[in-house]
Amino acid sequence: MLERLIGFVILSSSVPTVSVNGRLITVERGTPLDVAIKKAGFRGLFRSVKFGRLRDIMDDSYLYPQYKCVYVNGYGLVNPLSFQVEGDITVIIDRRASFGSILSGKLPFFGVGFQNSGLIRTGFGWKIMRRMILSSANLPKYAGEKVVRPESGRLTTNILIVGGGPAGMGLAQALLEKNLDFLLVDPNPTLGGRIRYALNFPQLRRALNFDAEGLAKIIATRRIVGLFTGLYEEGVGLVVGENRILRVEFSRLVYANGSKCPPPLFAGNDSPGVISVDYALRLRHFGVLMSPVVFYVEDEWGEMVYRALKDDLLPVLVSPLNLEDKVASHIKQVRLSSKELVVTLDNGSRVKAKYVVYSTLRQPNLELPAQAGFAYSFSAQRGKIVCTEAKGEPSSNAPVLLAGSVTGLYELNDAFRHGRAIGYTLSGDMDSALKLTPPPTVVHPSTTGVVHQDAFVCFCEDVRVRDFVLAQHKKLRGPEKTKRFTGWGTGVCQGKLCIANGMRILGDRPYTQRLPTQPTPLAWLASLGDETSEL
Amino acid sequence: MKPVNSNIEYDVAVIGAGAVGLATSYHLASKGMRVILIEKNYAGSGSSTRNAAGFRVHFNSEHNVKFMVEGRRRLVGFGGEMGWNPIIFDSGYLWLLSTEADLQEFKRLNTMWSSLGVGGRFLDTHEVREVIPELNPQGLLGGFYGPQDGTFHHDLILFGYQEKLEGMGVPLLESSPVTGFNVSSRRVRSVLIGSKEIRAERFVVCAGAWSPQVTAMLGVSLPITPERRELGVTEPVKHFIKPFVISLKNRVYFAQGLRGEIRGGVTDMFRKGYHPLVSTLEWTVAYAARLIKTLPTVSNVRLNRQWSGYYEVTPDHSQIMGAHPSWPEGLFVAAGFSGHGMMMSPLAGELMAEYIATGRIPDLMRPYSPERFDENRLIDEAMVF
Repeated sequence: MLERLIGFVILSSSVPTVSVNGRLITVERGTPLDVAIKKAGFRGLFRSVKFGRLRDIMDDSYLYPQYKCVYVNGYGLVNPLSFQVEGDITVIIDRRASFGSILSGKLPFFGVGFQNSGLIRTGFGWKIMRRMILSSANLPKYAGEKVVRPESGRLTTNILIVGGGPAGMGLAQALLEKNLDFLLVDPNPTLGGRIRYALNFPQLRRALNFDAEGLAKIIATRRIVGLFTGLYEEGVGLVVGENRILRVEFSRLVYANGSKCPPPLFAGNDSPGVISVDYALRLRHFGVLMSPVVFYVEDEWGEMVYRALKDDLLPVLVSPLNLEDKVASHIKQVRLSSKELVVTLDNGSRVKAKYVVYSTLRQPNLELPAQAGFAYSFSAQRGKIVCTEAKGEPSSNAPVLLAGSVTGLYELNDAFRHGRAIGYTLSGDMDSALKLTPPPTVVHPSTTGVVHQDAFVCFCEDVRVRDFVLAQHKKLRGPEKTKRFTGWGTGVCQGKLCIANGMRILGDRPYTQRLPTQPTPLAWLASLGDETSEL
Repeated sequence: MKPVNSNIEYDVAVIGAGAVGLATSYHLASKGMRVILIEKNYAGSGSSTRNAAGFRVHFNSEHNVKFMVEGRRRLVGFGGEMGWNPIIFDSGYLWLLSTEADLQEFKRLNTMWSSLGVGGRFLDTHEVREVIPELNPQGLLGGFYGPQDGTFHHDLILFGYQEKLEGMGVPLLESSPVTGFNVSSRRVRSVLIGSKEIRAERFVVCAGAWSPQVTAMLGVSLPITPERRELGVTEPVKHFIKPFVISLKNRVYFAQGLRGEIRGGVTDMFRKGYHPLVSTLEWTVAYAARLIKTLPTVSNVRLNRQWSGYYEVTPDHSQIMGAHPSWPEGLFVAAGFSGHGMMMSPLAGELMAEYIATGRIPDLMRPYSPERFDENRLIDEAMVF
């Protein structure tokens, strides 16, 4: 009777009512479910165990979506990040996660993220912990859907360009001009990388003398849609596409895969905080980015996001760049008070904000060059990872070059010029290359922020800022020991989401990266050989 | 870390901060000796963080069985003593047998193992599939299950020793490659790290696969060859493989860790020499194919990380522990563990420390003297995977 009554009440309301584990809230139609769940007062969707603690997680990463689900009456298990509330629903989050429920093995929503439960001494506590770990019930099962057999093949080219952003396109343009044989790998259907988001791309293109016809030619004949997952010792690269896997042989490899990883270090998912522009966009999409917001912008990408969001946010723009309507300053300090962030600027003024959005210090994606055996040197300034030099021999026989942001170049047009310069270098036209040699990298002043202890460093392995602090406390310093202690960067994203976060905290070099850079089904890898038939 | 005063003379300088070097230093320092630990990269950067982290008592040689029966106790007791639980998982080892010859060989070995108190169980195909129902039964004759064996987590062993050494004030010099030694009157007097000189009474080389490079500076050649092997782990999946599995027919081994990841490698692909620690596509393809062949349900599971590391192989696949009369005085070696260094390290460190402190060779260590290679007393060890 009571249920019927509640049902009636819910059905009769004009705006959708969401019942989350019995807590009733109303939301606007079209609200993403995770926003609704947060509005209902839940901090996390599921729990993870790490360092012997249970922790709430509202994980927004794209990893393991298959088990970051909640139960919705009438819909079954849904991913709250992709589910929009259109009508009245009842949501059940199994939050009974406790040591007892996990031991019973019946808990459906229990996270990954076991690492170093070795801090729990041996004995009874460890026995319980081990059972908890073994019962980690929401890990996906091994079988899954039926095996998709990929098309596997081989390709050979003279020059393989990894990345179709400004540097890769600049390089491709120069190689086309010089009539050299090359292939370009990029996972996105549209070429351009970060340049696609630049507001002034048309002008930029004109200014850079970018050849649109050449670009069309590249798309038609020279490109592979797929992700370059690594350079192996044999000197061959592996490219994984949607339903094919390719072994690519080449005589030259150029990494032009730039700064593709968004660093959401200052996680906004637990509390209002200091976040990156990329994360701000995501929060805006979910409707949870609220004024006042301070934007600190050091690049065109940040400026673009600022312009896109300013109409409905009324943000304050702080920038050392020459932009309209900005406060010309750097941020000196951000302090987390009980309710808001207090931002102190270099010019002495103070602003209160719910969010501080940074667009600064975009990280070069170092994983591939690091795997190939390059040593990097970095500026010593804390919080800065600027590759000033790549030295040493790549471990394979294949000559490897770097182009664009991956070398620490920052501006889009610099990257494009640098790509062209590398292209001319490869063709032997040193005069043209020298003319294009980019100006020295500008090292931006350091920015400081107060980081929430529960902010994520690494989503896949549930590593928080506090875990890094613990590692330091345990005197396990440096990236390699921190990685092994916390599990940072060892998850399925292979550091793409988190390497920059961790390095910012440590102010240090990246750890050794591992292949493949994208988890690849065993059956796909096996399809490249003839061992299957031999066995 | 305390600043190193080069005027201080140490009782022992240990070269190499892998598991063996850390354990040796810890036990020496526990005996009240003044110890300094020198590492060319960072602690554990060699093979100690690159292994499959299995332990077993089942070897071909009786010496090695006895060594690991005791060594296993040290591993199991590690958490209690050191405060870091190395996540001992008594999962057992499961050898998948496909030929009558293999079966007979294991029967012969099991007689020896039983006499030493560590006999295992033979499983028929049906019983093997009760342990892991997903195994491919094709061509399978049965299995041998060693319940005394298992897995652990190597990083925690390293962390445990590092924390203890820090607490005892033992200097750990990282990023300090040894560049030479000073020898006078046939006695090693000091070790050089660039312009820095560290004087000590004794020098223990625990540099794993790099040990021959260190002793070569003293004109001592060690019969240790690096063999580069590769390993891979998959993304985490729900736990379903309990034992550490070795398939003799498919030449593949694998185990599932407590994070849910399946880690493993192939048993017959390696490259001798100091090859760069990178990955090969050949291995990747072979491992994937053989793992699927053994365990077809993992076809969709994705390979997540792969890496390589060195086995430090001696002619008889057993370690070198001790000193040789022909060597300069004061030089000791604990290296050449041939792929078993991590599981043996807690005991090996203890024995080396006892030997260095007392001058008496502990019984368990006696078979591993470097003189065995001259006297042709090689250890009969063929069970290397």
